[in-house]
Amino acid sequence: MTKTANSAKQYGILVDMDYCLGCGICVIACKQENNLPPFTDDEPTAGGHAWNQVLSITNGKYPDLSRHYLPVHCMHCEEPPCLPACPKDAIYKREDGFVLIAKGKCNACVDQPDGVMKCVPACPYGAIQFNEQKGVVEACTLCVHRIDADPKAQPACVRACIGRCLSFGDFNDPNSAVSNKTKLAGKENVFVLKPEKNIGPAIKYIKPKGVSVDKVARLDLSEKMYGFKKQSHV
Amino acid sequence: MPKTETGTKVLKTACYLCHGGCILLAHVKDGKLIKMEGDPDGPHNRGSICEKGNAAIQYIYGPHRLKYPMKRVGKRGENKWQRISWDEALDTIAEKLTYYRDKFGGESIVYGWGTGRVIDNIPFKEFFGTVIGTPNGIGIGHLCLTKTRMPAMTVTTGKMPPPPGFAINRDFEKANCIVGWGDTIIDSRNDFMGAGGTRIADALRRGCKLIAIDPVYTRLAQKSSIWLPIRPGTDIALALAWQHVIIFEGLYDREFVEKWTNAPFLVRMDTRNILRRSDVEKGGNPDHFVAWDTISRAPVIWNSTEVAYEKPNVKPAMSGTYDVKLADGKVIKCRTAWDVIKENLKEWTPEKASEVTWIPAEKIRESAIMYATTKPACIEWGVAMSQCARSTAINQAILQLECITGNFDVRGGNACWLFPKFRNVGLGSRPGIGLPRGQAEKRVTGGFPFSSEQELTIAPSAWQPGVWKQIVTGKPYPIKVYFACDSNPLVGHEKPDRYIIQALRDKLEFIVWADITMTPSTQYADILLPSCTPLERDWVSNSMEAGVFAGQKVIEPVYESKPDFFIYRELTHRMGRGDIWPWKTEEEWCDWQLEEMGITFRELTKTCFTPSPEDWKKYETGLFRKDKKPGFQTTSGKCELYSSVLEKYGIAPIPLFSYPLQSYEKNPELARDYPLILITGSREVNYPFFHSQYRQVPRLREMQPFPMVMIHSDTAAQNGIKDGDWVWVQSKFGKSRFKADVTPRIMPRVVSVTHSWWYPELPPPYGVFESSCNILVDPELGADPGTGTTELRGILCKVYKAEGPPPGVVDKEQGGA
Repeated sequence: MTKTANSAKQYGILVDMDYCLGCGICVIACKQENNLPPFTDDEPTAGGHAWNQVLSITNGKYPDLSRHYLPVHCMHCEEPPCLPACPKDAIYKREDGFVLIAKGKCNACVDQPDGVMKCVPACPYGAIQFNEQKGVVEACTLCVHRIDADPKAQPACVRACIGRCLSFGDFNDPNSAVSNKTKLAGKENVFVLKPEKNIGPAIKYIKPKGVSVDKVARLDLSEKMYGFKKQSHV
Repeated sequence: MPKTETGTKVLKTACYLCHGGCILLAHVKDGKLIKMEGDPDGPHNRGSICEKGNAAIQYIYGPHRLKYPMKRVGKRGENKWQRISWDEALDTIAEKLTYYRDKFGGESIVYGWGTGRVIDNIPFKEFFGTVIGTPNGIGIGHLCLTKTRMPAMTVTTGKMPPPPGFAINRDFEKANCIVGWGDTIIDSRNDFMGAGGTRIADALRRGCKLIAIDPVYTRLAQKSSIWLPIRPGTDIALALAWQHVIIFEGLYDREFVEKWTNAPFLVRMDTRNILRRSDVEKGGNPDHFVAWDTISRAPVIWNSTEVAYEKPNVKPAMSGTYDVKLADGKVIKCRTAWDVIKENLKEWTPEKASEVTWIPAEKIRESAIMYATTKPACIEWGVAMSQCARSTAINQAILQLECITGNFDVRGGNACWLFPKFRNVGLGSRPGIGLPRGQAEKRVTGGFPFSSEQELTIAPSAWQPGVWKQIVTGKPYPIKVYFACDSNPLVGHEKPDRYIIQALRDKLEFIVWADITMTPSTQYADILLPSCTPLERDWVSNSMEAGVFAGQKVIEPVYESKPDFFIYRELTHRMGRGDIWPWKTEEEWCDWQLEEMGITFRELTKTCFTPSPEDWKKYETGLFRKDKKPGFQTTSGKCELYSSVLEKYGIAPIPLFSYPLQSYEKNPELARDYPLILITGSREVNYPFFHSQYRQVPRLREMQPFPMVMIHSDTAAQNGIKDGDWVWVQSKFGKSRFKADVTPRIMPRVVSVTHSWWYPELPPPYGVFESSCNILVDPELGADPGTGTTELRGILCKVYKAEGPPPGVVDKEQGGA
């Protein structure tokens, strides 16, 4: 994993999979906090926008089953592949690690010759969402507005979590909540999704007890429970 | 009041969007609610918040709110309304209620309530009992725990002095073993009574063992030490097998059983009835019992009034057969109740239970040992134990497990919380508040003793299926008026397409509905009253959880909605009984309820919660009994493992196994056409709702857009069903369609459907019978002889592919509309 020089801090989230109950409150708390467009009332089943999603992974045959959940959103990568993909320079990474999309710069690539959004397919996690109402792309900001207003604040998803499985903090600060939890769990038990991309995602996971890292890192992430709208262009 | 720079006020309040328990922070700007967060100081949720609390804003300001009082101007169900003033609405209601009460008797008026988003349905009961004089209140009782767990408690560990602490409670915080018996806790108590999910996660962190009993591999099962995949409707067999292992392997709490239960009492071998003092002494009190004293080698009388043997230094025999001379001189053989219990349990080996429940015998044994030896342990059991025709036996069996393992009323076990000195309102709470003489006898009980007998009930209510039928038949007396308070019977009650729809559409002469939103059922009202949500009013509650909650009004009521407090106050005053409802404001009323606790409502809103005093093993200290003697408030004063009360009402005194009313064993022919087992109402596919509520809240609906049927992958393949297909689920009683959730996580022979579904996006009646689990079941199949609960789960069904979603329903994956 390469280390970026321009990021003195690297805020992120550590997910303790043993305590993720798969309830989806992280998605709904995010929608409230970031005022994501709800679907219209006359078509309540159309599916709204979300900046995060919960995946579930089920293995085995009844009654010998296992099931785990993974909250997934923008990973605020150390080297975000979406950043160079953007022809408008709308995506930027702050010194403290937040990867953000500049308001007013993104136009969802409507003026590009092929009219295809460039950042959306560049993200290996499918985390960038097209907001057709605003004509822009959006993604998890780690609730940067909350953190900027109060350094002790937490992103809305972390705050709401029922199972208390999410921790927020600076992975580069050895005394942060996420570093302490990493130490406690043992570094060897912490993994990232798609490590082969080598982009330094800042959403990390503590594997469930009794399951090998090897196994969880190769999880089939196809079973979506709730969150991210299905995007035909991804 | 903390004020942020942007002019946003943050107000603390208790949530009541389910049964409450969480403390929330409401962010309010310019009088509008803009954000909801969990309060880190909330003792149960500790900063977390569930989806319902989070989406409260969309619920409160949504277009489905009832905005003004309205009267019906078209035919019932035509959705034609005219806005009227509150005065006109209340005058009309008071006049009609007076007319029907005086002409046809109070019993001709029925009132219904739901799960209590308006909380005040307790004074509602007070009003209808005292002012109207009707014994016919129908709630959700017989579908829910009030008619099953509480009766099990009443007969086993006794009625607690008012206000009752409930045996339904359990102490997750200190338990070292938690059993979720047909109860996912995480899904269904995410929030119910205080952030179940948060507590389960906490329990896991401290190494607490979890046992999940469910045909579905639920979230709790996923986190459990042991998962028992049980065949629906066979829980009694599992409970008896647990008792078998615990008793025969000597894992029970011997001291508790010998000292505190009626296990030593003698049972007659000739009649198989418990031996009563009246049997052995002419004119003896039939509620006194007899044991065999091993010291004097003679029978000894247990004086239930004194809660003591009538001789000092008695050592009662726990086992054995004894000759006892009756009052008429006849000598009969008697055995101890403990022996009789053991005799019943003898055949219930894990191997035998395995044949019935389909759980591997080894897992039954292992789980029984884990539950009995990991102290303290608590059991949380779900409504599956209530929604069947065997509810008395299964609830009794589970409560007995708590008792014989010494987990009853101990920290970390199943606890009976003592409430703070909270002043409840309700029938019998104050002088002059109660049914007029002779009215209780008119209650529609269906003949079920737990509906009809005062000594057995804590919260008496009428038997709901019987009431709906009586409205249609008019026999034995006519019922003409229905007043509903946040109730949705067309969606939530069983078999609504038979009597209920007829009653609402054709039979009832006057219908009033006080509710928060328009629903399929409110469509049939003659007068509609807009109620507030809990966030728009001040309230206190000691409901369920261990303590008192204060919900403070965080915004003014929207539109012309009013708190139900206002409705009752106005109606009592308009009907000339203002004396029973003297409080002018909600706050005044809350203060009165809190007065003996020495705290005002405003003071309580600083925390919004005050816990119950901690007190355990109250049978030792006398707090369980009115006379303050150590023991239990049962007939004998003992914990009755062998129920003298059930026996009195002709019900088996100990739990006996029986198969579900429709089962492979009982109905092999039916099973050929309906080869699958149906369960209804399991909260497994992300369940962001609360029974029939919140389908119209966009952020919640998108979590579960459609009613689902969970089908095992193999079963789906055999029936040509793919994930996401619309599927007909058909029982002998009806059919309904659901969207397939094809998964390996459900027992192959079982399908599970979402309950209480309706489509607020469709025109009235909102597709009410299109995806209704309730038209698949029928109360006339049979009911529990004690409680009157009906077979809502575990019946036989079949599934087959439907052509698409119900008419008008848009499913983008499937087309339709």
